[in-house]
Amino acid sequence: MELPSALCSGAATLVGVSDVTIAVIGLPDRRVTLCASSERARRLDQWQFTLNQGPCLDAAMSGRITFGRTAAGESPWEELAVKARELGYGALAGVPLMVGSVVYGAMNLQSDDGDIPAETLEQAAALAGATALRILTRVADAVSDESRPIDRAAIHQASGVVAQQLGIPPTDALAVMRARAFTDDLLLDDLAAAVLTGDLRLDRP
Amino acid sequence: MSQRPRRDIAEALSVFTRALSDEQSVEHVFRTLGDYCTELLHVDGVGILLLVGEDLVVATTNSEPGDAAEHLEAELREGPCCDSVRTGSRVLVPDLEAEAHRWPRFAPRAIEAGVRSIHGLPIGGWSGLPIGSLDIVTSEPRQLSDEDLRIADMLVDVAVTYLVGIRAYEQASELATQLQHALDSRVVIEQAKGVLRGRHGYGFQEAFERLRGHARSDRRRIQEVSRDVCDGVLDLD
Repeated sequence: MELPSALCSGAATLVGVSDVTIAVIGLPDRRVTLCASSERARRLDQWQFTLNQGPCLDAAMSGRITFGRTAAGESPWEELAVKARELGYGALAGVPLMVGSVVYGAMNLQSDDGDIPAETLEQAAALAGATALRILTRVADAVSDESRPIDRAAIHQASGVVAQQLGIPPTDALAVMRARAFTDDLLLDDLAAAVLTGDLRLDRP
Repeated sequence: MSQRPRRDIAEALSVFTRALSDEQSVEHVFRTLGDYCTELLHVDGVGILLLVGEDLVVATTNSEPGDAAEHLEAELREGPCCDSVRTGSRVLVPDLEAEAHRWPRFAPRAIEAGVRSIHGLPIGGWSGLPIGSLDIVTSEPRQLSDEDLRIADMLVDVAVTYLVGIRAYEQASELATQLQHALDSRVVIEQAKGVLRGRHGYGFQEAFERLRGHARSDRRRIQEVSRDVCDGVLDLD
């Protein structure tokens, strides 16, 4: 599922931010992260999915550029902002990726500074526009290739296991997993791993 | 007819190009093309026939005689515009009455409907084969000049180029939609593997093989089988 991370780090350099992540988002929870320019960018992306909030989701759902500082009390994404501050980021933004009339994902910007200037957002929007079709084509190829594992496969598999344990549909099971992850301050990825090893059962207290 | 100043043509072309950029549908593009040709060439009407499979279909007309002529050609499969599409060449008929013998079924009825001249220009698709014809109609005998025909060709080229863009836009939108479906399918399959593991303790490889085997024997797609497993209406033991 990985595009070369060079794509993301190249984008970060071009646009002038600390990190860039690119993700495809369909229906909620149908989400694939294509690349992240650093480990901490990837970590923040994992938190966005776990907490189900953030510039990426909002940009992909609204088709608009989203922006928020991470300072306490100033962020539209309170819980995520805590994690973002811990990772050293001062501001976050999301630029929608679209082709034709369909928004299919978002390019995330992360800055160590407390702000991302308007010119930077414009530049990112221009880059997103120029690369949207190419990115889409590569993602479509990767997703259709069944020999390549899908991103976050373990989380989806775990949601199936939990679904069976609780007798509810997998989508609801994911919500249960999210709630538990939030309570225990865990990434969904780590919680899913524990479900799959059998170390964690959500049908028992 | 006196020489038209070059800057008028250049300006008309740029106005036409700008007008097209407001158009989002193929139908509107053809209509704009027809209207601009009519005005620039001072003719009575312009119609467009499109080749759809083996048939010619009327895409647009903007006058009564033009409408009559296009529908006659499409229905009878005979006429100068049909010939233009078939041969990929211009078919110029400045005086239809004088050449009525060439199209014995079409010509009398067209003349009766008020058509006295027809100039059929092939519209080339991007593979080089004609996709239709642009048909210029007047109610008096009239010979269009070389310059008139060149202007019409230019407008057609601009319109076709624009249509290629619209088509690319539509294809890109289709691809994005297909991606969402493909992604959804892959996720559902993973969820189903989890459900089977939870229910029967299968490893994921085995779970996948059971899903695939059932899909084959039932002649369904694996994502549909997976969805049934997730919905609890199907079990594979």
